[in-house]
Amino acid sequence: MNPSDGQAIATREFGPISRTDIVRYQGASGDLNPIHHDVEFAKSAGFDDVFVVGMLIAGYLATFASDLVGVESITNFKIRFQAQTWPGDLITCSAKTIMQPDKSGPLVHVTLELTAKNQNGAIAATAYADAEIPKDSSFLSSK
Amino acid sequence: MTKDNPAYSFSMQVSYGKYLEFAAATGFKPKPEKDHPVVPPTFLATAEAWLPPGAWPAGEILGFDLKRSLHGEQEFTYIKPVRVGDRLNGRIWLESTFSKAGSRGGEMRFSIWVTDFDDENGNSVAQSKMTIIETGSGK
Repeated sequence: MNPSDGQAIATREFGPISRTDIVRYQGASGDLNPIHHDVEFAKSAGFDDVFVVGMLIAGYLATFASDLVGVESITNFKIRFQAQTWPGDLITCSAKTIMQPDKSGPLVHVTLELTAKNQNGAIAATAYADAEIPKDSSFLSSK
Repeated sequence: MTKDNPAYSFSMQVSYGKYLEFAAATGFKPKPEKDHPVVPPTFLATAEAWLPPGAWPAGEILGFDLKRSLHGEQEFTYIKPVRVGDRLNGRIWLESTFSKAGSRGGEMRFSIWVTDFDDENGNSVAQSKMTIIETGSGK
């Protein structure tokens, strides 16, 4: 498969997300908002349960993008959160590429369009990762 | 509040321990410390760990209710890669605020927070942009 414009190139699953996964991410990031781990607090805010911290989904999509094009090549990562995800959800990340070939330099500009869906197919988040990858990158030749 | 008068200024060490912890939490395969590896794209979210415990500018400055607030969007822009071993200076400031009528009643308030990250020589390295939304009270 050739990673030409708009083509789906890969998918990867993360989860099912456990409460421990949420706590591990919150401890690592320093975002200790109790709405993601304290059920009583979440209920007092009108939710049935804690919900997954959005930046964990962002982290999964960023890992997925990094594995595709190389972490060193990513210059911008932007995510929009669209729906909450919940403990037990299985997240499927998918990617499409948007190529902006610049033949004048040694690097090719690639934008990955990334989507995270839950097990019911609902979109949790969409993201874009911009990357500057070498023309001889295996990402361009082996897909 | 402006860029020159930030809500918080902080200094952060990009330690290998935090890199490993973040990698484990996000399914990222870490590289050896001796390589001074580039951090994953959302690693700068860990800036929060360098703020005073419980710091939350949207609540402190705009009076947003944590129980009604959501993270709408997040962006990280790298002027140069951030690597394990780097020390960064950060400044968080409020770029803009605006309101919209919520679809389920009440007013939705939006706030966009920028964190600028500089290296020890004062050169720009990266920028984080975070949109925090307070949903209407009639949810």
